[in-house]
Amino acid sequence: MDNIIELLRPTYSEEGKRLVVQARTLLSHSEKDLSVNTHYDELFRITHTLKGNSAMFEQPEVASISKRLEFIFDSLRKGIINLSAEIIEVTYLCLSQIEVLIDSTGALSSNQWKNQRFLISKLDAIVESKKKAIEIPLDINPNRIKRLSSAFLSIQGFFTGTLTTGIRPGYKNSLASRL
Amino acid sequence: MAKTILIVDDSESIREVVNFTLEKEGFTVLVGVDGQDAQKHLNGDKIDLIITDLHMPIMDGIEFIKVVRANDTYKMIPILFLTTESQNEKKMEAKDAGATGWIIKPFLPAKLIAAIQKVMV
Repeated sequence: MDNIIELLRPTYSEEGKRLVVQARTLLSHSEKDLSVNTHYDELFRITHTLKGNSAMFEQPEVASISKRLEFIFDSLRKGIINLSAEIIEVTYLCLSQIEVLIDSTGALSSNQWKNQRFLISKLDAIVESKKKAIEIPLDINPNRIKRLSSAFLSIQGFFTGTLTTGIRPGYKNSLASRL
Repeated sequence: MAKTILIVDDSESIREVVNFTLEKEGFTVLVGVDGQDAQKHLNGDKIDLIITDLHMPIMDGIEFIKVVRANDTYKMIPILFLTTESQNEKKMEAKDAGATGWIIKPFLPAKLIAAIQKVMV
């Protein structure tokens, strides 16, 4: 695995930087008019890709920032929160941090750690405020919650598998009988 | 004869990791950068398995799975999708669209191969 990762690290680095540039461009368009939300899907997809790639290429600090940004842009595209000057500012700072970290393979410098902690705390504050915005009202009928939970559990039962993969139960048998 | 796997992912890095892993195991690999692009391989190419990402521009993984399942030639092919643990909602959508199973990112090559062997008939 290490060989594959090291071999393909330049590809990861180039793609990551390209995604950061795209995100900056989209953000600058959004910044001009906070009411225009046409770029949130694209920003969500970019941060999602950055998250997946950095996890694959063993860069937990980039993944940590990207995961939070993905959550924020998902909330924006769903209309749960509105774009604010604070989100724009923090996102720009995060993109700069990602751009630096994406090329670093060793331990973070003390300044990079300081930036990382600052950005994570800023992002967490935004995420927390978003969570409050979608809290379930307390006056929901408890029977309804029970019904919803059992429906959710039965839906979950469709999938089985280990932590890393999942195959629908009986798939091979059902496929064999159809062939 | 080597089995053929179609990989559909907009991330070049992930495509390369999967491609490298599969070719090392002796599979023939076809590539699509999104659902629409991948459809070029649904015109008679031999495909034994599809591995697709979900979030992609132009045509996402869910739509692509639906396209495959609606195609008489390819509708029985096992389809695995790449996902992250946090995407339960998407997993349900992909299952409803006709996916066979999933692989969680990040993955180890051995886990990827094990998942493939589990669904290959």
